[in-house]
Amino acid sequence: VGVSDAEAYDKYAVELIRFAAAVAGPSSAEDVLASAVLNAISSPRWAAIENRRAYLYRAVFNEAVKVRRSTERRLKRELRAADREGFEVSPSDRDVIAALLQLTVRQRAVVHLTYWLDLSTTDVASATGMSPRSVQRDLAAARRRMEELLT
Amino acid sequence: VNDQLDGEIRALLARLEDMTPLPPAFDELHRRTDDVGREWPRWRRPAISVAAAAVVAGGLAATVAIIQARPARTPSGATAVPSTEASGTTSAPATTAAEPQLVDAADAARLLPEIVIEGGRNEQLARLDVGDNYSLRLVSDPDGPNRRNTFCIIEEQNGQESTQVCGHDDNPRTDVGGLLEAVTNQTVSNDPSRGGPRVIVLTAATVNVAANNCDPVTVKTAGVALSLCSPPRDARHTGLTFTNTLDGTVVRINVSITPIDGAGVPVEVDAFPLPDVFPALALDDPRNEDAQGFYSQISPHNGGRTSALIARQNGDLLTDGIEISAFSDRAVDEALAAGGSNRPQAIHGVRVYNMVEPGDPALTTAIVPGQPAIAYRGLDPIGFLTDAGLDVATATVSSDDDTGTATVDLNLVNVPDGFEVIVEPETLALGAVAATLHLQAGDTADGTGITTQLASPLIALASSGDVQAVDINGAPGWITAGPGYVVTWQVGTHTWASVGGNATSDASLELARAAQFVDEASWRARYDVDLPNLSPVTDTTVTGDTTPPTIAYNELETMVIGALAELGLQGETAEHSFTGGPANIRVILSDGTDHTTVDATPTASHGGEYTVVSERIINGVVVEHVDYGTVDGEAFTCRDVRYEARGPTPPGFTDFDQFLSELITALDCEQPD
Repeated sequence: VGVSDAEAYDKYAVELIRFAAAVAGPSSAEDVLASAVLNAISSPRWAAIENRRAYLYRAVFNEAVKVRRSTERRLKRELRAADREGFEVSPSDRDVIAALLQLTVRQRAVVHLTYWLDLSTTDVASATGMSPRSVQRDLAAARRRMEELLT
Repeated sequence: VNDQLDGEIRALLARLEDMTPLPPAFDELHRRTDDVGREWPRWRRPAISVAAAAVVAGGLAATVAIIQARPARTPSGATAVPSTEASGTTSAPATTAAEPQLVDAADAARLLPEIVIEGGRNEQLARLDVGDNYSLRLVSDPDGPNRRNTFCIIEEQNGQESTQVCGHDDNPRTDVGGLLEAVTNQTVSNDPSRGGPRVIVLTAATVNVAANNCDPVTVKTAGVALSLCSPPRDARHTGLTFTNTLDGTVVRINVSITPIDGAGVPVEVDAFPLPDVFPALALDDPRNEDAQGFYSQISPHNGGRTSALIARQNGDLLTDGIEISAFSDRAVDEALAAGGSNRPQAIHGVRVYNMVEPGDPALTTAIVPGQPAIAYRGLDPIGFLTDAGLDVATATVSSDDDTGTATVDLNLVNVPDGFEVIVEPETLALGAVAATLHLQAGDTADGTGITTQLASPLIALASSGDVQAVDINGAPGWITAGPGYVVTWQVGTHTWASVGGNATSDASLELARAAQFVDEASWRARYDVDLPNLSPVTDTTVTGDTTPPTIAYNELETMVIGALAELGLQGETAEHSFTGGPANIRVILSDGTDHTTVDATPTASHGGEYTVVSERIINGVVVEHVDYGTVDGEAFTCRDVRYEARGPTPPGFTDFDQFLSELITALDCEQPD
């Protein structure tokens, strides 16, 4: 772990944690990000990686997929917590969490990268390690589910 | 329409950004990944990282709050409680436990919205150590009555158990009532079959301080050790142990995620009996996206057990199912203690033990004493035995000195007319491992799944209610009628599959018919399944007399039995006793069909909700007529012990008050007027 690793992290940390929040939920975002980054920079391949941003995106995505079950539980727990006295979760936040629960981890990733970062299908595929065809399929499925929820 | 949808999706993502915390500093990353979960087998990862307990001084009540290690975050990302963590440091593993910290009870409730506990019977689920002299243990089904769906939190100070509070997830009034009511009222159990692994979800673990008349001051908290991975009974060998504090400092002090044998030596998974095939879905099935495979273990500690199913077959319906079992390791009283309330009953001149398990439907187990005892379980085994006689089955236990295990042979020799043997006697392999493919796509909170295992689920299912024949891709199967709609069918020479957790029968049948079965390697590769943490197999076989053993009475039992003896009555323990615990003493009346009970409980651990209907003075002592809703009794307190008596007036007394009067005197509780 050298200075350059810290610099790389600092450079991308804000956007990566947004991505982590999108795929794993706000409360899991820090853990997912931390595990993903440490996995990435511990990898023997790290030093040779040219596009570290894309590599870190993929690491976050893989980490979120790896913990997908606990991710679902956390999201559901956040929803339940919103119902209880003492938790200051606004109705709009509740809607956000409910929306996330409608989508699979892959669909969340594709939606975030497409709508928030305006990445092309090819770039989304590169960032997630999925095939372009899978990206298109997941994006279409996500839009259908979001349409049911939002409109 | 597309533009509108796109806009709404972007707006939603913008709101999500508002909820997103700031990224942790680079130097903090290592600390975060030392957190719970990092080294856990994925399927056993806890949803929370710290349990904390509040023990309210004064001896009258113990209050428990279970709180979350990771401080909950508000929408703005601010930490919910003040954190004392020093940022920018990287913590190294330490070997000393953290000092206790104090947290306000209200904060404790806010910190832990949920704890998920996975485990089976009689397991230590969690251990919290504070220094060398204080610990809290969360235990499922400890040595007490009504083990089913029970959990207790035991406090130890200087090696001595000082407080134990228990709760039932299905009947919060039974044991400690208001003490843990805030927890247990919202507890959900997923225990479709007896004795199998289950998930207990405790939500909103709030401390009801008003109801318990205690001060909402502080909650002792510090480290927690969660051993959710098939923990051995021996606390020294807790599978996974973590120490955690509210400030987020987590120190892993002992990690063992590889299976071990009885000597603690790592072994391969296949050292345990495995199913012939493992559950999967077609590669293109979209449910694979969120599918998760995991192992679970059945009966690592028990001895041999052989079970069979008989039932009436009416067309495609199985009705009146009776599970018949013989155990190699359980004396009658132990088996009794494993279920709900028990009430001996004479059938054909033999005293048959009769347990009714709480739940809907209420299941009854009748145990015919013998060597070994034989258990009949179903909706009405007493009626069945009354009609059919006690010689339906015979059993023998033989010991194998070479392997240290036992074989239980169960023979169905007199199956009554109208009944058929549906599942021939089968022996559950000790330490057998089941494989589950869990799907989030189910209709229930815990999702649905497909499981393969070495024992037929039909035995338990058909003895709990009617089941209907169904076709699963050409194989005969069965489906239950109730919620969950469990489908089971045979998929290998020694392997059965089951599907459940659905809101409709169609959903269960669809999933069952979509299920595919693969070898273990393919299953593990396809679903990235981690190796499990399996308990060492321990055969506790006893091959001798399995009638009730001589029991060493605890202090209260000795006191009550002695007092009853002074009144000319023979008392015996109604439940399994343990040191320092309560006394549940019964006096069997003349024909064995009824009994009077006298319970004695230290006031510090007495709980439950009841109504005081009336009071009267007997021998200078206030005697309350109390009503628990389902039972009533007469209660009085003497020297920090609460006594409760109920049932018919024992022979030799004119009425129950005369019995109470003499009992109070015999207990040396009489007070001068």
